[in-house]
Amino acid sequence: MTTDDIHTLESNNPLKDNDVTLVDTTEKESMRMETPKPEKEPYHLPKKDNDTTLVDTTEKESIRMEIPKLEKEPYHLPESASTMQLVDALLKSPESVINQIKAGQSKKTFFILLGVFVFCHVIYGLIVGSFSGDVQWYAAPIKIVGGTILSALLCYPSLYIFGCLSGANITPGQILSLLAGGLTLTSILLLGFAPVAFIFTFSIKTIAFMGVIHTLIWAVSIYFGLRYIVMGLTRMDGRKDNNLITTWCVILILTMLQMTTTLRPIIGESDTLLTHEKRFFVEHWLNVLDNEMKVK
Amino acid sequence: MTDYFKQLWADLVQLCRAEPHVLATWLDKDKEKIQSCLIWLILGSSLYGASIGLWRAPLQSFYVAIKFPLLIILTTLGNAIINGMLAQLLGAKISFRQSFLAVIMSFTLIAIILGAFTPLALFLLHNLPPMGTAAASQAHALVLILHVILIAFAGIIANIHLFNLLEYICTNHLKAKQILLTWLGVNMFLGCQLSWNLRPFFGTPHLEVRFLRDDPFNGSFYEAVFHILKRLLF
Repeated sequence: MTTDDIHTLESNNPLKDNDVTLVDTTEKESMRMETPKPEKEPYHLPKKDNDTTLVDTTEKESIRMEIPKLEKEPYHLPESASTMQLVDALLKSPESVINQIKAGQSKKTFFILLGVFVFCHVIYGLIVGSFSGDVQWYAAPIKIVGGTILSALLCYPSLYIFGCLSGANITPGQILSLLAGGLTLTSILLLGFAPVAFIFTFSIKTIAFMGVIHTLIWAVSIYFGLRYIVMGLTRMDGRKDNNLITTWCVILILTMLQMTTTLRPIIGESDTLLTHEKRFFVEHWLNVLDNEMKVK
Repeated sequence: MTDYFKQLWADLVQLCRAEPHVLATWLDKDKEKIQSCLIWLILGSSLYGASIGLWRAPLQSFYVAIKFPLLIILTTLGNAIINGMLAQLLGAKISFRQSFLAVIMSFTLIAIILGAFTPLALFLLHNLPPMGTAAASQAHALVLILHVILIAFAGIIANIHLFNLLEYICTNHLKAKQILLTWLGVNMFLGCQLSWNLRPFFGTPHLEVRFLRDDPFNGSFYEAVFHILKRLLF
């Protein structure tokens, strides 16, 4: 028997493993039933609810401790939520705020979010302004609030169009509330970083380094703000394309960075409230860094 | 009173064992446990702080015994709000006070480990050439390296336990990792700056012993690193 003959026999064999169509299905089923399946133990998380006591053996008197129930109920945002409830929801359960917007209750939510946004940005602006003092005490908060709102308004039409293009079923009002939510979350985080920024403000002496610190803090904060907006669009029915929204996020970041250069000085001192010289933000940053290198 | 000390000791034992399901119960008794943690944190870090400054001078040792716990407490307080916000955003269902307690528990564990290392550090100091001798600069370098290694070791152990606790709370490996890394980043970011403001800790041999430098708020840690790198590279 040659090797070719063996191949021919193998290919004609009705019980060949791969050739499923040639095997009698009833026979196959009965074979399956007969084969004992290895029963795997289901994976168990560490005991939480059942294990309610714990005894410390080192002590003579055993200390009984109640193990807390870690699985808490899902966060529920009331229909007429207060400002604090909304802030709490933005941090703990952003999806509950998004659901409220989706349900069409975006008008009241929008105004509360706007109020929180302005308050948090003003506080952070005061810390930014304290670096140079004088006029910057009031100029920096105004520029920061105004600049962020202006950037958001510039990017708002493109967000709506990109949202629709990516397949989200969303109204202009809903997208505005979503944008306000994202920027409010950013501002809340900026407020959280305020003590950190405050310590740096009184230690750092050069504008370039202060700028780097504020940019770092802002970068972390805006990341979570944008994450909220992307999550919101995902929750709106039918969205398919992520790339367009990612592109929009990059556009917003670039707009905001350029706004800091357009409205300069925000950190440093100047004779005038605004500088009339037009510059791209990268060029401005490189100039500042270059001056810093020359000084030291 | 005796019961109070017994409970304090029991808390120390539980903290050292660092069993996540036990430490998770602490988060529900945050008020009393914060107090307990602060006591052990101050004790441990003061003891260790004293050993840091002792090679330079007894007065430096006294100053660092105050400054070391102060550095840890200020870092934790400065980041309390942002740590709480980040934990909630990244999916941990804990309050601001609970996240503060989780961070302070981790720092307390570092302080306890370092406190336990104090006798070893003192023994090494006893064997080092004292200030004013020819080999003083070498001894200073050795003190620096030793303490960096000890602090890094304690930090790694404490963060492993913090991770286990976070994993238990979140019941999710990825979330716990994200929260730990963001907390680490934020705490290091501020901690480095505060340690710069509160310097000197080790006490440079040729500089006078002082509680703080003449200009504690002049410049930052990151500016100093930048200028060192600039000098090295350009």
